[in-house]
Amino acid sequence: MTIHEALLGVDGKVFKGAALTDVAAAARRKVGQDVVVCGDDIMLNQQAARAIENQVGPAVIHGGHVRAGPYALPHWQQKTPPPTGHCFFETDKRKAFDQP
Amino acid sequence: MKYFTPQLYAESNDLDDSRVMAAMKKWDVGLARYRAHLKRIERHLPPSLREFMSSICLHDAEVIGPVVTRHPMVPGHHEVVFVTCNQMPIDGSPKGQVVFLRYLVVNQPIQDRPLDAKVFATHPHPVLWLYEELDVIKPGLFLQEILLSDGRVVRIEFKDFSYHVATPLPLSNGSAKRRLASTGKTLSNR
Repeated sequence: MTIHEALLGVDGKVFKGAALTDVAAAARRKVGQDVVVCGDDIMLNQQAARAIENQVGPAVIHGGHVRAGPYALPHWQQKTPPPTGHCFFETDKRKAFDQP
Repeated sequence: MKYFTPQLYAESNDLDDSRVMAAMKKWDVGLARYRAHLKRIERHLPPSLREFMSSICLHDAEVIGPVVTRHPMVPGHHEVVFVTCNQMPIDGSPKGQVVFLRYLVVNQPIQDRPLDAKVFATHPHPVLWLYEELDVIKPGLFLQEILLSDGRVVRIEFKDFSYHVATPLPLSNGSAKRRLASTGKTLSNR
């Protein structure tokens, strides 16, 4: 499992950037920037994303939205933003993209 | 709500990770079923609503409303209005986009809180638009239900729909006069 800076693209695509520690990921989230947790174990990814987001404040998980795009990833986010932004995580079927 | 219910939303946010995962699987099933439902009803929806559905995602948008006002063009009718501003779009659209939604209604919308759960935020925090569902009640009469972040489900029966998208004005560059590109009118600094 790895944690990365994240950038959003069209159709819900999440592009992964530089690798982060969980401390750095939480710091990034505190300033409203997106993060993505990557790996093949969806439970681990989900737990890591929740842990990162809970370091920022009370968090909620959001499943897919019909208009988010076919590549959208589930995510944890703040229950009452700010900070805005999301901590996405990969599933077995949906993955982040490498930055072009 | 049939697919994105307050109950399922609360289950997804359980403290137990295995329950979270189970609920997320149910969520994915519901999402697939709702997509199929939308495909079936799409051609029966007003063109403005079809256009809106293909271009705007309000998930996580801050919401003002619903508010009710007399319809400016249809005597004896009312419209329900929402104003939304999305500071955290997930579909790649620009941050801060403001969308005005207007529903030509036949009845007063119904708002209730079917589930009292800790996952729902209480005031005074901004209310966010979470999920919405559309349906056709009968030809020419439509239903939208909206789950908001404070646990409210808003149910709107409507005959027509319109929306407008606005973007925040950039800071002035300090020039003496500014021109509105779309209208050709000039605003003078005072």
